[in-house]
Amino acid sequence: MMAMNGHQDKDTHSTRWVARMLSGTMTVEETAAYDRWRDEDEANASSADSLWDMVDSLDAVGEQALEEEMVRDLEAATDAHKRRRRFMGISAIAAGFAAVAVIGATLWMQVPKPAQYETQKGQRTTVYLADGSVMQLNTDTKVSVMVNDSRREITLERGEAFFSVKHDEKHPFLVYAGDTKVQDLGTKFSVRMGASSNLISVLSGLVSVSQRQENNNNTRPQELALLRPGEQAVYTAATHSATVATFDPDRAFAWRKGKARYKQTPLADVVEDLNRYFKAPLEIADSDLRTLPVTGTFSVNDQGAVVDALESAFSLMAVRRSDGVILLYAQQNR
Amino acid sequence: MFRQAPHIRLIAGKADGLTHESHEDGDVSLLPEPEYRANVRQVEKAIKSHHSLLLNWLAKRLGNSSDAADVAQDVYIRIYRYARTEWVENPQALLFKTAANLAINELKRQSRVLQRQVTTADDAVADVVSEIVADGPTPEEAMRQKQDAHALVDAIRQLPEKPRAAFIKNRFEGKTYGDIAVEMSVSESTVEKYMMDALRRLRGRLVRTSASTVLPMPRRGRRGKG
Repeated sequence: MMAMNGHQDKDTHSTRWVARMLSGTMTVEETAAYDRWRDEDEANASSADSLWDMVDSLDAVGEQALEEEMVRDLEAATDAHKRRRRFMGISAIAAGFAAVAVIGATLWMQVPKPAQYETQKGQRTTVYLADGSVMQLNTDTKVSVMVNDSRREITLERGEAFFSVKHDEKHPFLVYAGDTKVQDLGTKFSVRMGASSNLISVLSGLVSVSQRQENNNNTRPQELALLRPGEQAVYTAATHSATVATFDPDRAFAWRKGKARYKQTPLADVVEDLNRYFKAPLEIADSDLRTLPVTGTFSVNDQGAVVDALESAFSLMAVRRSDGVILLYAQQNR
Repeated sequence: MFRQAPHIRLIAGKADGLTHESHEDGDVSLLPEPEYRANVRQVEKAIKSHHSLLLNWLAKRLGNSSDAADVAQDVYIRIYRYARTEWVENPQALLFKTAANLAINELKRQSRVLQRQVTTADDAVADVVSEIVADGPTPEEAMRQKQDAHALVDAIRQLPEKPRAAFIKNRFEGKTYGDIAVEMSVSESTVEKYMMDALRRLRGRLVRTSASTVLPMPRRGRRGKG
């Protein structure tokens, strides 16, 4: 208890000193006094140094903090501006008309109509939704978005998307992918549509996976899986069932940074995965190669670099066929 | 480089720049025509209703009205360009964020803010903060750095209004307590109290004990004084 108080005391002292030192108008005497205080006790020094380290570290986010402060400043200026207008008699009435007109226009524009977002092969994009959630689309992906005051619904029509959902208990965030319904209340997860199965991967929070009910609203859909962070569900359409397993987030979400990561993944699966990104598909020419285990990180922004890496790391040879397909052969002179 | 098959030519790097950060000319438009038009309409409305406010604010910040007009112009150009590819959910927020961002760029160019930020180190952090693809860190490192940066920003965000304003003016705008006292219409000793309060709260959130720092952020020259 004594030691604890001692620490707190040192921290109060060092806070006072550092606050003094940051004033920008330190005299030589004051600086010397600080140095004496710091050096007279090791505990003084360590308390002050950790605070200096913290202050230095904060410089790294200075730009963001400053930007946010400026935005707050602008918002405050707007509010003050609005308040002033409200007190200005006749012009307040005019402003009232303007406000009505604006509200009318806004309501009219918000007649529910899903917005559609689409990426081509090799593209990625980020969409900021009205509710504060953020959606990131991977290559060759199409989604319809219906997010307004009363509901939050996303339909994944093809491809893969990552969602960072703003918490709102009253309005569950729903993602439909074919037959699959994914619901959550504020978390980060991705949904990927495959030909015969969908993949739901959870980075944080809780996600409920169920089968989509087309017509009714009253019967509760049967929950197929409840996913926790680090868990992934494979939903198979044919059997209407989901299996849950753990997964590696670094690999599953690498696409968000333009990367594809594999660990002991058979080349056939790697090629299938990479082909989502490239207009000129890769194809394995020697069937022996299909099971070749591939480990590594590829930048999916650049097919040339990917092919180079495969060639040199796995002793492959790439040959482009006249129809654009890139054939992968085993190198002869191994 | 395709030594074995010289007749293959891949157009490398063509897919680059398709991330959301880039809105240069030639970017593929993701918005269908009707939405694009609605987007432009709402962006235009936001610009019109905030134009004079924004000009005044920029003039105050930059200390010069012709710079303010230039920056405002640049803000509008960027917003229109952005509106071509992405649906704008909150035009006012986009307008303010862009204005703040470009005002900072201009102040940085004049070396009036963020003077302690060393370009190389801060580029890495800036990348992390805005999720730009960087070749440097592995995804694990990047994730951790991002979380750290997030914790730092969040700690500043959580400060009470006045200590936060004082801290940001002092640390990131390089202002002395005297400058800040004038701006905030308080005494210098009150500014110092705000700073102590800010430091105390930040320490409480970011530093585990007085002996060990929990922040592995890139560290540069020590003892940065204003």
